[in-house]
Amino acid sequence: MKSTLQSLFSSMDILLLERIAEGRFRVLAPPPTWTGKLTQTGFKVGSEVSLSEDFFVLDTFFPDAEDLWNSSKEGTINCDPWIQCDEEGQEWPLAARAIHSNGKPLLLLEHLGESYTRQQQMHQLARESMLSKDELELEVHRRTALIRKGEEELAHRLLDVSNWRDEETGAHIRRIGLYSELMAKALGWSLQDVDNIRLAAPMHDIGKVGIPDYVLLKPGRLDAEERRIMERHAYIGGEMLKGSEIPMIEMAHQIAIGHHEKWNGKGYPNQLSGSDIPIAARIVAIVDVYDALSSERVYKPAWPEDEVLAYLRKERGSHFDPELIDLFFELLPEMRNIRLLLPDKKG
Amino acid sequence: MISKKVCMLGSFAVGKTSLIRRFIVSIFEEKYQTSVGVKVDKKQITIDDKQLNMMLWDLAGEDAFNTLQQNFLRGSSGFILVADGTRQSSLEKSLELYQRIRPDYPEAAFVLVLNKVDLQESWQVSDEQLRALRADGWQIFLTSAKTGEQVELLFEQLGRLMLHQEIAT
Ligand SMILES: Nc1nc2c(ncn2[C@@H]2O[C@H](COP(=O)(O)OP(=O)(O)OP(=O)(O)O)[C@@H](O)[C@H]2O)c(=O)[nH]1
Ligand SMILES: [Fe+2]
Ligand SMILES: [Fe+2]
Ligand SMILES: [Mg+2]
Repeated sequence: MKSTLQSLFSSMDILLLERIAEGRFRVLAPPPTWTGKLTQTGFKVGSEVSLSEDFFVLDTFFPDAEDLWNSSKEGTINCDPWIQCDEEGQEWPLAARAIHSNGKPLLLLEHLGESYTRQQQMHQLARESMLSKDELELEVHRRTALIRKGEEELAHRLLDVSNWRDEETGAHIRRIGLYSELMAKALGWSLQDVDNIRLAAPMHDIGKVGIPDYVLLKPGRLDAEERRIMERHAYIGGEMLKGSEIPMIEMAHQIAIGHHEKWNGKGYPNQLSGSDIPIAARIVAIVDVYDALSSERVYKPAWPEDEVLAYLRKERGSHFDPELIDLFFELLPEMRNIRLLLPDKKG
Repeated sequence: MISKKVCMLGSFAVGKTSLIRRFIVSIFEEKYQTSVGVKVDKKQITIDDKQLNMMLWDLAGEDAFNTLQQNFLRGSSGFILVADGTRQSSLEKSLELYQRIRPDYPEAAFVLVLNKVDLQESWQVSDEQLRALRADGWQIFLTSAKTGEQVELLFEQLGRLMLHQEIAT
């Protein structure tokens, strides 16, 4: 019985040892052939050996093994595989197991062979698939980042075209983007759309490039005819930006053409009302008026804040979307912050 | 001769095995063959007239399938935390491993490696991040196991750090 167990161990490529003292072991069964390749002294049944020379990796395992062998517990602990080279450079994947059974402290050294190859292949597959997933994700990120960069550049170029002759300052333009972003976030829009409105809202008055100087730059009040010409900027802006497949530009189109529409249908150019006006345009309508009234212009001083707010409140449900006005008031402290951080440059 | 144990740690596929292979036999292999378990290589180097025997423990990368077997670290004097500069997540992994290990090895030398520096077009670690890490006290090497860039330097510098500790203790 004992000998069959012993030959079983050696046929399984297992070296079976009994611990006799710290760092000392006795070979219990005929050692498998690889022991000859990996040891200097050669192991025989009954010989007493120290493993630290030939299997030095085990030194990292022995402290845990000693704990088990010296305890009153029965059980097994495993040491992860390691690879050991023989003189000829052949690699041997080995694993160890410490056993405390029937009061006997045992150590098993096992050549993993096929099972190692299988485990290696499994890990290889798993890791390669994780890598290609990582790479794909990265590629998608890289492309979106590239597209976003292109869109931002486009937005800035478009603004450059119109901005230089407008009475509205660069700071106003940027604030409109930030106020709108704030509203969009509070409405729970997707990150994409929040980004889009931040870039698109500054283009609301882009159509003013098409307005003649004598109207655009007139210091005093506009007469009825001049006002009619001035109002065309919404339509012109809409035309400039229409038909784009880029969602950000499409949003800019809606904003440019829709930011002077009113909730009650009395705005321009199309007299849309209620939710027929795209929401991006309804948002910009509010923040544009808020910012314009709060700022000084060549033809008017800045209004005091309480008057601006009173005006917005009065126009709730007539000029402005009532729900969006409520949201605006909730966000008022943050709106003020934007004004503080990005003030108009004097002079 | 002084002998020191060094562990290569990091996420999978960052180039731990490749760095050792470059250092020891000056070979680079494009094909990825993941390591399972640990493999130990030795190399003797001379640092400022001192001979040092480096035992380089190449540990399997940690991932969802494999957690680091802590017992293999016993007796280490140095740790090379390897990250792949084209995979931000691998840098996070290295720093996480450091947090986990450092308390057990307060005397050991730690260096951080951002490998695959030859892959500039997919590089993900910003200069700002590098500055912040250096300001945190990290010794960082930007290596390539492919071209050999900074590989010798890495092991030499780590060897020097470990020898200094020898003197200090
Ligand atoms: N371009 C480039 N590729 C590298 C570099 N270093 C390693 N690689 C490649 O990256 C892949 C992984 O390299 P390994 O050295 O096997 O990585 P590892 O960290 O040992 O991986 P695990 O053993 O799975 O933890 C291989 O395909 C290498 O050829 C490098 O500096 N530059
Ligand atoms: Fe307008
Ligand atoms: Fe405006
Ligand atoms: Mg490896």
